[in-house]
This record gives sequence, C-alpha cells and structure tokens, in this order.
Amino acid sequence: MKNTAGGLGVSLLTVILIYLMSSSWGSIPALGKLLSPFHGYLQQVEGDGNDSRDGQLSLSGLSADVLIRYDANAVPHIFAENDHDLYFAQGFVVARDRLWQMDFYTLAAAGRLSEIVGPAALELDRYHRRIGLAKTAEEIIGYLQQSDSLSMAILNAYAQGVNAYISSLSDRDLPLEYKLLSYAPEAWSPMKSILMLMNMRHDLSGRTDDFRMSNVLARYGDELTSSLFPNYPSLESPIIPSGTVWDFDPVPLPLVPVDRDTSVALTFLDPGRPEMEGPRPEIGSNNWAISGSRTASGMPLLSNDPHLSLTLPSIWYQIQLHTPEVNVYGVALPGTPAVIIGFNKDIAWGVTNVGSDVMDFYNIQFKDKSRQEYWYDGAWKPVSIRLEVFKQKGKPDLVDTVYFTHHGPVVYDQTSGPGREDFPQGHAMRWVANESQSTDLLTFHYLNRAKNYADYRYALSKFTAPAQNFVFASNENDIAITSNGKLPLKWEGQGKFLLDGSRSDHDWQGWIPFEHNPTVKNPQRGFVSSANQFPADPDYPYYLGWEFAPASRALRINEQLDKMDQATMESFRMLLHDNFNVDARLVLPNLLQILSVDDSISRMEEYRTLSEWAYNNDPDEVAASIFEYWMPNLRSAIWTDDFELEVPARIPSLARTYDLILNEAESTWYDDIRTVDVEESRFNIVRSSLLKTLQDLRSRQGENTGEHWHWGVVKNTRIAHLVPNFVPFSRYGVRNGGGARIVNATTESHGPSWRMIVQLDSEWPQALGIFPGGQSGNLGSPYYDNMIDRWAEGAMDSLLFLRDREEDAKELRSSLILKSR
Amino acid sequence: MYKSIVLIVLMVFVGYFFALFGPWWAPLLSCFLIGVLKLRSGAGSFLFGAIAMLVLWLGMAIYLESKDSTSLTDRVGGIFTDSIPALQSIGGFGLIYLLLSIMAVLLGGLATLSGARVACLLGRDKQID
Repeated sequence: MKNTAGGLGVSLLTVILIYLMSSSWGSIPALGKLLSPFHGYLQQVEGDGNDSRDGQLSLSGLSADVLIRYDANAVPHIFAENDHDLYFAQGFVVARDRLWQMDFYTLAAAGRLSEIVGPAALELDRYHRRIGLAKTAEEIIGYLQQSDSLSMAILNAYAQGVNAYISSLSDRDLPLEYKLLSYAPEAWSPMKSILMLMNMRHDLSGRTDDFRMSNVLARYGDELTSSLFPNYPSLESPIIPSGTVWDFDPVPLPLVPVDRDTSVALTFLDPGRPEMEGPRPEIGSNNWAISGSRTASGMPLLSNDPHLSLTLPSIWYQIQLHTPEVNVYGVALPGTPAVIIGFNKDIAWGVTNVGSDVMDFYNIQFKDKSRQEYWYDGAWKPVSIRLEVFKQKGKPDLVDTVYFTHHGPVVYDQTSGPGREDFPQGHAMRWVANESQSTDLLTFHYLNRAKNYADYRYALSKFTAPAQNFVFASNENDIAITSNGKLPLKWEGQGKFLLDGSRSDHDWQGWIPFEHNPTVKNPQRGFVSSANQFPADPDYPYYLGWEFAPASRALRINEQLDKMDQATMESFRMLLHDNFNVDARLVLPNLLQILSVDDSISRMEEYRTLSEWAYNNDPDEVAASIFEYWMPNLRSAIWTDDFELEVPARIPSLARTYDLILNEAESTWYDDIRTVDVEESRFNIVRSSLLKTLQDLRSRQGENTGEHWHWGVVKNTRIAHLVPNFVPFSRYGVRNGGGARIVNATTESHGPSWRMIVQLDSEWPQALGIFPGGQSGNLGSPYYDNMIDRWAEGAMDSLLFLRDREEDAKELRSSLILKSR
Repeated sequence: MYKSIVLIVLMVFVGYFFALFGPWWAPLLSCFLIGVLKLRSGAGSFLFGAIAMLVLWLGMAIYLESKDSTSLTDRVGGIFTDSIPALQSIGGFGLIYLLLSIMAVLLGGLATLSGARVACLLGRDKQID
C-alpha cells in the first residue's frame, strides 16, 4: 500500500511539474515551453539568416507561382503574375519576418492588449476604444465592402498571405514574444490592416491643445493670449513658397461666431490620477525634392526621412513588389499592403506629417445624469451608446459605456479611468481619424503604379488621414509637394480653444476641396520641401491650424537646398545628416552677449565652449549638450510661474520665447511672480537658467570631463523594443548627433525611422536607404538590428531595384518560391 | 556500467525523436518508458533520467548556440535578471542554463522514477538498478 502511494505520488508530482511549466503564472512565462531547446526560444536561432529564406513552399490561395528573391540585407524582391498574388506574397513574407509586431500593433489599436497582458493594459485599452479606433476601423471595412471592391480585394489577398503563414506555424515556430507572453496569433483579417492604419492616424494626428489653450484664454483674455500664442510665427519658411498664386476660387469661408464665450472657467478631473501620454511632439519628418535644373545629372532628386518613435522591431519593412503592371521599391508598414514611401522606374514620393488642427473638443450639456440627450441648436438631441467589452487575462470581463454625440465620442466622463491631461472631461471629440469613408490604401496602390504628375495627383485624391505632405519627383523632370488629406473647413481660429457643442456654427463646416489643398508644382526656386512647418503663409485662404512644428528644420533645409546647383545623392545624404542648430545661431549670440557683463559667468569654461561653438549638434560637442538643456530651462524659467495654473495650461513656444529674448528686453514676463520684493530681469532669468542647466548636467553626467558631456553621450539615443520590459531586446546608447529641431532629428527616443534618397533617371533610378533596425523582427536573426550602427554613423545602403525576375545581382542571397497548390 | 550507458543513450535517442514531433514534455515519455521497462525503483533510476534529459537538452542547446550570432540566450535571460536584482550577478546566460539544467534534471529524473515505480507496482522484473 505504501509503495502504491509512493509510486502514484511520484507520478503525480511529475505531472504537476509538467503542468506548472506548461502554463504562465503572472508575468512568468511557461518555462517548459520557453526553455526546451526543441520548442522554446532557441528555435528562434536563424544562423546566417539565409537558409530559412531559401527553398519552395506549396500554398493554396495563389493563382500562379511567386518568386521571392532575398538580398544581402534580407529585403524580399517579390515577382508575381498579378496583383492578387503580389499582395498575398507581401502578406506572407512580412508575416514571416514581423508577425508578432503587426499582431501587437493591431491588438493595441483595437484596445485588446489586456487580453494578453492582463489589467496592466486596461486603461490604455479603454483609451484606444473610447477615442474610437476600433469602431472606426469596423466602419471603414463596412464602407469599403459597400463601395470599394479594389481595396477589399487588396486587403483580402494580403490577409490570405498572412494567414497562409500563420497556419504553417507550430508552437515551436512561434515568434519569441508569443512564447514570452504565452499567447498565440489569431487569424489576420482586412480589419487588422485598417487597425494598423488607425495607429498611424492616432500617432500623427492625435495631438490637441484646445483644453490647455482654453485655460490660458480664461486666465489672460483674448489680447494677451493672441500675443503669446500667435496664429502665425514671426519666423517661418512655409511649405508652399510665399508669393505662390492660388489658382482657385475658395469656397465660402465660415464666419467666426461673434458671440463665442471666451471666459469659461474650467476644472479638471481628479487631481493626482495617473495620466495617459498622447502622441509625442517629436513626431515629424523631412522631405524634399530638387529639380533637374539644379542637379548634376539633370534629373530630379528626392529625399524623405519620417521621424517616428525608434523601435525594435522597426516600424518599416523594405520590399520590392513586381508584376507585369507594377515594379516598385520602398518601405511598407508591417500589416499593411503596398509600399508607403518609395519609388518606381518613373517617379519617387515621400511623406511628412501635416499636423493641422484636426482634433477638436466640444462642451456637451446633457439633459440629465442619464446622458441620453444633449442640447443642440435649441433642442434635445439623442446620444448613441456603444458598449465596449474588455476581456482581461486572469480577470472577469469589463464593460465600458461610451456616449457618442454627432460630434463624436465623449472620451472622458465621470466613469472613465485615467486620461490624457490634454483631454477635457465631459467633452465630445471631433477627430478626422474617425472619418470612415476612407480609401487611404488606394493612394499607395496608385502611387506604386504612378508614371507621372497626373497619376500622382489622382492617387492623392483618394487620401483621408492623417494628412501628409506628399513630395513628388518624376523622370519627366517634374517636382511637386501637396499638403494632402481631408482638411476640415473652419473659421479662423476654430478649434484653437474648446468649442460649444450646443451650437451648429461651432461644427466643422465641411471640407476644403481636394483641389484647394496647399500644393505647388515646379516652383521657381527649383525645389520643394517640408519639415512639418506651416503648409502655407497667411495668404492661403483657408484656416488649417494655429501652430505647426517649429520652423528650425525647414529654415535650414531651404537654406541648404537654395545653395545647391549641382546636387547629387551625396549632397542629399549630407543634408539628411545635417546637425546644424538654427536656433543656436538665432539666439545664442544674444544670450552670450547678455551674460558677458557678468565675469563669474564669462570666465567659465562652459561659457567659452558656447562662445566657440560652430552651432553643430555633433555627437562630440559639449556646447550642444549645454544649449539643448538650457533652452527648455530658459523657457520654463520665463513662463512657468505665469502659467502654473490650477488646471492644465500651455506655455508659450520656444519660438515665442526667442522672440521675447531677442525683441523684448524689458518685458514683465521675466519677473517671477512667486518671489516677493524682487523683480527679475532678462539678465537674471538667462543667468539662473544657465546655472541650473550646468547643475543639471553635473548631476546627471558628472563633471564636464572626458566624454561625459558630449552630446552623443548626453542624448543617449535608444531604440526600444515594443514591450517596455524587454530591455535586453532594445539598443541603448546609440551614439549620434542631431536633435529635436535639427534636420537630423534624432532625439533620445525618436528620429529618422527611414532615410531614403532617390536619383530619378530616364533609364533606371538609383536609390539609397536605411532604417535603424533590421528586416527581421526575430531577436535570433542577424537581421534584427543589423542596420543600427550604419544608421548611427550616417551611412546609407544602395537599394537593389531589380528590373525583372531574371536580373542577376551580386547582392542576391537566396530564393523562395511560393508554389500555387 | 556498459548497460547503464546504453540505457542513457537509448533514452536520449528516443527522447530526441519524441521532442521533434511532440510537445515540449514529450522527451519525458522516453524517460518514463525506459523507467517502466528497464529500471528498478530507487534513487538510481532518478539519476538515469536526470542524466539523459540533461544530455538531451544541453546537447541540443549547445548545438543551437553554436549557430547563433545574436547573444540570444543572454538577452532572453536578461529579461529576468533585469527585473530581479538578486539575479543580476548570475547574468542572463547563466540564469537560463541554470534553470534549464534544473528542469532537465528534475523532470527527467522524476519521469524515470515514475516509470520505475509504476513497473514495480505491476510486479515486473528489472535488469538494472
């Protein structure tokens, strides 16, 4: 009996241990699955990375065989017989390299991360659902099913390709992140591709200042607010050159309501609650093109570098797509068909974010606590209600009620959890990202096939959001740029402050016609460019927004392009990596002059360093570190005391701060109202902010010796894995130059996520490109992060653009044939 | 001694094929079966399975490590050592191989012992202890 019990006991213990190691426990993954060399993380070892990209696979869903040739950088060059097979194969190869990443992005946009990580992601999920990302994606799919069979055909083919890959996977093949987080991919669908685009809509058009500006207005009134937050900056170099003639008759412009209330006192949600971060202000981009009349080859050159969050896996995926009707090279978003930024034999294009004001908030007056009706134009109007269900890992489901007005969702109300500091409570949100009659995908489908300027314009007419500055160049020697997307038709200043949700004259008044969007073709100056600055100067008849990215990058780019008359790809490569600090050139001589009267400052080593600085934010510059830390401190020292309100409030921009320093020596804004019996002057503020900066640097970096204060060390650029806790999967301390308002816009966490230069040619274009990561999302692949060091050094790869499937090239490494089953 | 080595090799060999086609715990079936068929119940049988699983897992791990150029083990282990300060002195690589070895020894040993105990209950004769 004792032996029987002992025998069963050992067996039971073994089974229990197997069970425990087959399951995840909290944040501890299923260790058995993870550590078994036959099933776990070691199955991700790819060796040289080429074996797995060689051979034949038989797949159902293809109408003919597809050839995929991989080059030395693991870029797939897909040769298919028709569009269906092309997008099928794109879905398949992108999933092979990036399945977990694309799945993760779409779960985030759908507000479903708590299904895999538990309650820790619940508030982020609620935020994503409440702003409408999943709802709008559903509606877009509904719209496309009704009215756009081409988009649906593309999306379905892509989804079939992704699913062909997913169905070929066993547990041991799953990407590492699935093993660590203990879940498995679900089937791909067209909706997931749209969710991927919704992520971009959020990141690129999800910023707002209405709430914080209304608080400023309530405190300081119209005149002072206009002075500190002007609708057009004193220093600007707009995308469409000033003086450009607008060759259209504007549609009637909405009139500014005469009796709008500007004295609303505001309160905020529970103080001390955790806050959600909105999209970061560093998100921006550069693009430019120069006419053949100013290049060495006589043909246009084009460049683009979108500045996004620097992540691993990379946000971009290089690919060449070829059928008898199309041959295009560029970068795609994992999870989305077609090439987003790229070139073909005849044209090249790129995008930067417009950043116009497309997110507004409306004060809603509900009839009663039930929130079933709200006041609008003298009558009670019903709300619609949507129940959002959250399936949390390890917890019961949670149901959240979202109230929709005709403006959009009430994102935060008394039942909501943590929110964004810039989102007001009880207000409905009108946001262009929730426009569901959208055919954005067609823009890229048609651009991939475009042959000339007319094709480019046609492709752009299909685009909704996020509005982008589409730069263009062709081998017909045309260059152009268009600030494109659905841009709301607004009265001057509409949406700078919170709007009244009970009045129809506060609604968006339709859209600016596509033909009236800011655009220019072959301008006299011989180049076009954008760096997220104002699309046009105040002569443009429509209102787009009161604030765009600082002019610093645009000024430098335009100055440099203006000097080029024999431009080459190398000229463009130099400009992409240009570290010149326009802000320092503008303001630093003045600041040093102000401080020169104080011997205790002017004798300092750091003062001398700043004085001798050539204004380049190079990685080994100490002056760049001091300046980049000093300016935010200076801004804060001037304004914080005046704008430290009991509610969230904007402070004037750095550009407005420079205006003050340079032009208003005696302003009362320098006085710190928190000090009594002392009236601070410009000198006091400049001096104290510099000393604080030096102290900050000492505290953070140690003494100013060796490399401690070098800009590349201080900035400490990181390229982080999408899961914040997976620190060892990230790259830290990537040493490079640049900065937030520098053409080389590399900050601590954001920067050029893809650099591309294209030399157009009547025969065959040449191109350079690189992104800070690698083609593979697999940590065990040599192509996971192989481009980072070259990217940081300023190198760019020559892009292999094959003419046809037979072309031989020394860079080709392997061939994968997808056989039609 | 010779028979012991043969049995361990047999467990590794059969476990390898089970691992190729079955779930992660499939090699333990090899340990269990050999335990049923060939081993007497006792500490010795535990040792047979422990050694076999250790050889199998470490052998495969070392083979895959030899093809890796990405410090994969160190980075995966780093996730755990980064979040638990007490583990940082071991390092990611050390922690992973420590865990892997403990699991192999424990599970392999228990699987074989289970097999031997079950056989004992069934009253079967054994050739080797």
